Amino acid sequence: MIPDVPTGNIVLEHVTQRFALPRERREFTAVENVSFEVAAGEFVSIVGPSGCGKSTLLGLIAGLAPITDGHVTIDGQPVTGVNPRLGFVFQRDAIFPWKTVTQNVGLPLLFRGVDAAAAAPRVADWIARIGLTGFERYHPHQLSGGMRKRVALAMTMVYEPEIVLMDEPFGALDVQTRNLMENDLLEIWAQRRRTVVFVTHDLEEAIALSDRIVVMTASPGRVKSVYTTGLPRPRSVTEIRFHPDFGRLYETIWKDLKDEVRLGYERSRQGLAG
Amino acid sequence: MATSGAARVSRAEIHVWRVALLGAFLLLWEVATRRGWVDPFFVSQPTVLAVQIFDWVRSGFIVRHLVVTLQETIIGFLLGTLLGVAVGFAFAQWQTLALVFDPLMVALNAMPRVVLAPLFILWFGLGLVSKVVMVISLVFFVVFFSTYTGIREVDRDLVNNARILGARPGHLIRHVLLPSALTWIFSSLRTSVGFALIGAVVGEYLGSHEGMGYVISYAESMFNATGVLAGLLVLMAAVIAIDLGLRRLDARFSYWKPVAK
Repeated sequence: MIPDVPTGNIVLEHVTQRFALPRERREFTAVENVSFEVAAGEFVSIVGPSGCGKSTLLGLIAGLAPITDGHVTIDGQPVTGVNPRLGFVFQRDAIFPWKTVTQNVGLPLLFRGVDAAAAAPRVADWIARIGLTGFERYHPHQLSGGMRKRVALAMTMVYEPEIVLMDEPFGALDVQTRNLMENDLLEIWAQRRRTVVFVTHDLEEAIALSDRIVVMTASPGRVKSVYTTGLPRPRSVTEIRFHPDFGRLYETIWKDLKDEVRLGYERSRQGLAG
Repeated sequence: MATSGAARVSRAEIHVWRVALLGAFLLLWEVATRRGWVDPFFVSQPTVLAVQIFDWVRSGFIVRHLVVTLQETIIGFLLGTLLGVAVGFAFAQWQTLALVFDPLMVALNAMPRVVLAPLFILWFGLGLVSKVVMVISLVFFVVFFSTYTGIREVDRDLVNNARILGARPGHLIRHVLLPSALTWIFSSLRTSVGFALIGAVVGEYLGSHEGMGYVISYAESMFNATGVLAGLLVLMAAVIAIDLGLRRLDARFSYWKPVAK
């Protein structure tokens, strides 16, 4: 791996995903004909109303489910199964409740066959970076929501995946913790530019973090538009909101998004969006 | 772990109440039989029972029979648990297997095992084996169903996360499925141990020449209420001791859970 030339280019071509709803004897189309590209080392956010298939897209990139139609390729290779070069931060913290902080952060290295002596300093380094030194032997239930999220982040970063997929990772946190975590994320990302695909329903968060923003339509999810933020880096998520372009961007994208949000809301009230 | 001061006080109070009620009950029993309100031929007498149990323990008679019963219980319990976990895992891993055998499992589980005991004795003789089979037939289903549920109810996100983090099938079992199923297995452990002891005693009761079930059955055939009750009391003490041990074990294995039940 050469740190200066990032790999991790993602291409989605005409991706459609349907799920069978056996009880209702019909199919549900989660996403339809979605095409976009994420350049290596780029930070892209996907925004859209709830139920528009944002998470489905991440799952397809990660290879968690077989794709119904279309192609997803990573560095030219089609995705056929779970890809070990990739990291995934789940919406709910998917850390292991029966393992300590150290064991959790070290788990991917254990899975990858890194020997204990080589793994220990890397694990300790990440625990220090997420500010949990002194909590090594704690179990998740003894930690706050923000701390658990940081453990999940360290668990993903410790094996240095080339691509990091994040599914509304900070959605459950309070605003202050959330801003701190967003800044941490930007800092980690700046150190070695990995490709990040970040799913959120929070437009402000998307603008503050990303290079580009993909706006999705209400279900079935299609790409409505793509915006380049062009905001300067390095950024602080708390300060970038005062940048003159931020408000303009927000207004433009929101105009695009709000109809979809309304549509998504109405459909979910009718129980159609699943 | 974190017991507040208030809770500790009330716990002591509870102990006082328990001892007081038990004492009052024994006293009433003793007085009632001595005064002739109730015939001790039918209900025996606390002091007589105490003497009987003391004699049994001193002569080593009861220890021999208790050891036989516990042996059957433990062997049957271990084999039944092993089998239950293995089959539970297999069913959770191979859906087809589960679908094919599901009705059979439900039917077998619904069958009253006590009625099967004479058959087991016929097939496996009066000795240890028939009792162990009886215990297995009871323990297996409890463990099987909780293992099966435990694995099926594993958090999907955890499994997906483990796969993305690089887990191979063996890792998945060891680091995700087994720990998750263990909590279910342990929560059913106290039930299944109780079942194991019942299985052993019922088996002995119906056909055996040693063990606690035999002691009770023999006393019964002699119309010896003292013998029956003393046997039951010894069994009760054994059950309480085992249950206390299991609670300790459960607390050890669920260290990662927020608050112990």
